[in-house]
Amino acid sequence: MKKYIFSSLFMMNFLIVCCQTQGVVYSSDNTVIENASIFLTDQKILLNTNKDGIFSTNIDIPNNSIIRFYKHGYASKIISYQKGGRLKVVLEKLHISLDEIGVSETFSELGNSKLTNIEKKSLNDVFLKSISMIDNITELSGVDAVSSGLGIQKIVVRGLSGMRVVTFLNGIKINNQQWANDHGIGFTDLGLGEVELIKGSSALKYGGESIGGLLYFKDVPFISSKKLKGFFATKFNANSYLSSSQFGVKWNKNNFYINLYGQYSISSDYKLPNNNYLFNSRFQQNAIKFSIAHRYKKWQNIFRYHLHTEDTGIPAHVHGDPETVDLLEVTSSSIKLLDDFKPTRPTQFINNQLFIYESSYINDNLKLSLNAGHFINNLMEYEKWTSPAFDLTITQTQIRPNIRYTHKNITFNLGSSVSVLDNINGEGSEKLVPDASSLNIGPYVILDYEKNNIGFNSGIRYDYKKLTSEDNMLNNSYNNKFTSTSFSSGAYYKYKDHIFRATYSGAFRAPHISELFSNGVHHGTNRYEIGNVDLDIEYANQLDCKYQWSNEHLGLVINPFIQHISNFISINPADSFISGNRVYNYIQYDEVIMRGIEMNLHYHPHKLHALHFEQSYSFLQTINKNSSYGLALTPANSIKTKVIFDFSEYEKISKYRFDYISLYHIYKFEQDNFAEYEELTQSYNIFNLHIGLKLSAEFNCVVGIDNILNKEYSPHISRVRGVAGGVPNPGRSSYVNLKYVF
Amino acid sequence: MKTLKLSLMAFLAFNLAILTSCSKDEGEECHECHLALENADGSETMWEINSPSGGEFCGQELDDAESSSYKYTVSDTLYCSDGMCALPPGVYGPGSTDSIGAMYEIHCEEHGDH
Repeated sequence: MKKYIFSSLFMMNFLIVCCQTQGVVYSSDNTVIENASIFLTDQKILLNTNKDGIFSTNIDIPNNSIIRFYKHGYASKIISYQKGGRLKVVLEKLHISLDEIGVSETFSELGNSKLTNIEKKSLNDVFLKSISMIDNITELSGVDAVSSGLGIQKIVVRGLSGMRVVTFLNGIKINNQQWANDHGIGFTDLGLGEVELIKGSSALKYGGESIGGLLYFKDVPFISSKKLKGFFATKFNANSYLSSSQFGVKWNKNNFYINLYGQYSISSDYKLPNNNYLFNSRFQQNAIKFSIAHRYKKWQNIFRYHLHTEDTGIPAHVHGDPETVDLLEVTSSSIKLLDDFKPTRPTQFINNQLFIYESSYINDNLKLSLNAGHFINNLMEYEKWTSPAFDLTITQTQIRPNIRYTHKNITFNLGSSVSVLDNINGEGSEKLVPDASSLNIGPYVILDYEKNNIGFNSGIRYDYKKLTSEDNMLNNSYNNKFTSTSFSSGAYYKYKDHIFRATYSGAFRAPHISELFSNGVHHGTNRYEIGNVDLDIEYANQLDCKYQWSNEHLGLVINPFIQHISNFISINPADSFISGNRVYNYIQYDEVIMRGIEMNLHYHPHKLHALHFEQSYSFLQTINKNSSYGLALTPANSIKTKVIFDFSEYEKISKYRFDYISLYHIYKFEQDNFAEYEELTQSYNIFNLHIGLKLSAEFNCVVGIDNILNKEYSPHISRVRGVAGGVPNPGRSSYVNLKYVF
Repeated sequence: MKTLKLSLMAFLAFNLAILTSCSKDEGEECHECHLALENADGSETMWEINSPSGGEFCGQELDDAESSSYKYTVSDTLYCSDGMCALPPGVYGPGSTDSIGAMYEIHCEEHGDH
């Protein structure tokens, strides 16, 4: 032990001479920690400790930069960097590793995670360890997915989705036509490191319109290493013959940092538990992205480019009333491998391009940052082979300046978001939504105060939205302004191992052009949709309380919430049919209440530290004051349980290359709270088994079987729940995932 | 270890084979088409049709069949898929000058159990 400390101190003295910043990371038992991560959050650069627990860098880190130290199995720590001193960081050994349990200090782009209910999920190895990124995120309590297989998936937060759950990628809002359930998230897990999630209407800094929640996806950081680092990963899923491969490389020289990634995925139709295949649930995805950063003294500039293309089949397409068709009409009894990877009809062809420029300047207490982005989304929906039914292009330019000023215990954020959006119809034979433009301006101010074990924050945001359309499909040109104020106030108190937190917030959402002006067949939903130009803004108020307690072996979170939404925009079926599709009209309910409780439990026995037992409970009740029925697409209550056994501490087992084994179980309760046009959904149990193999230091493998019991179930919020009495989700899915790191 | 490496190589080769072979575009698109008539409940009745050159519609024939001016001449009575409904000889399709015939659409999309 003494030898380690002595050699570390010797190395430290040497490094002080040649490097600007250095430090050593210890465990609480005074042993050095090898390969701990040191994340310079303001610079988005990742360092690692060597075998002596030492890290060093020539980067000129400005005072008050936030640095996060973390390693699996230890409680992470955040410091505000001050020049001059040697950094000596001690990480507490931790058996409970769930971030959402709140035992780790963590940095969040979305705000102060002590004062706002921000949850996180690491996406670092999601390609290796999960069947899909969205499935992985839905392990969080209160989070579900609307999906029809792996091709179309989108997140539902506390029963809200679509326009109410806003998605950001590296600081820029993604607008992948998310107004409809047949339009997925618009990108893959390629190069992503983490996702942050705010549930409900507390996401002040990033949007007044995210009344259901906000997802903030972040790329993995740059590395400070002249040696090229990277990975190659590939996976195969036998259920849909999904084959997907990714590569990534990272490199740094002097003040330049580069990350480059690519992906190719192809999938056929997925197999149902009855061994038939859901016709046209196939998809292809290609993506390439790179990020280049340059640092000069206190300035840092990052340019990012992301190209994502997708050919996604729209399964369960029918003519007439979807409820009355037979399941055999939308399924195939077999797969022809040479034909059934190819796009058929109807299919969406999506092309997303994202350009991002990030600039930041840090000087002592001040951080100036600017995010500018341009997002181009083209969605072509083909019903025929030779010409598209829809050809929609969204272009959105966004600028977000922010000033962060820290003085003693107070952090002050002042900023604004400005965005200009154009929705343009191309050469499609049909038109569901008109050409339209919008201008959004949203200035905000947020104040955080933290001292010892207490803290509070308060913020206010004013949003101005101007929406115009002079499209010929409207009888009259439309020109309207929507303005409203959003706010959020929170407080926390820590007493020994107990943390109490409460947030009260309010946000609004202006009606979307699809809700105002739709008039046509929406092939992806089997509906003829008719908008309503008289729709007004919907406004949400949410009270979210959280109690957290943890010791070395047990962690507990209790999170009750209630949200009132006035003028809730919804879509309701009529009795008539147009062009073979049932007519649906957009309407507004006076008041909707969404309330519930989410709980997390993490336990591991004292004598078996390698065994982790994690459980989350999500209970949600929706009340529609205008109807005796509930709201559409309200997820059923659920209990999610994960048992993980980590073999790394058991040499007798790990020598056979076993890394871990995990069993995931989800129990969905019966959903008897449903909308007028929905049906009761029965309860079900699903079991997934994963085995992690560490084939070598560089080579990892995960083999798994999802839906082990081949259970036939159609989730209440499935995209195809209303077709043929409920098209089942995929049956038993076995897969092999590999990742080689260099 | 050697066996493991060989297995991994085989897996990689298998995945790459799927990626390359399944994304190949094999020239001209050919598809079956049918005449479709919408029923009151939104469902449709279908009659399979053949292209002018016989069988599936390919290339320009497919372009024509999906255009808004296409008309299809039925010379012998056609029967729908369940054999319960007969379509007498006549000119059908969106390009038909006959108001009844123009109510019929040409669909070339595929459904399950193809």
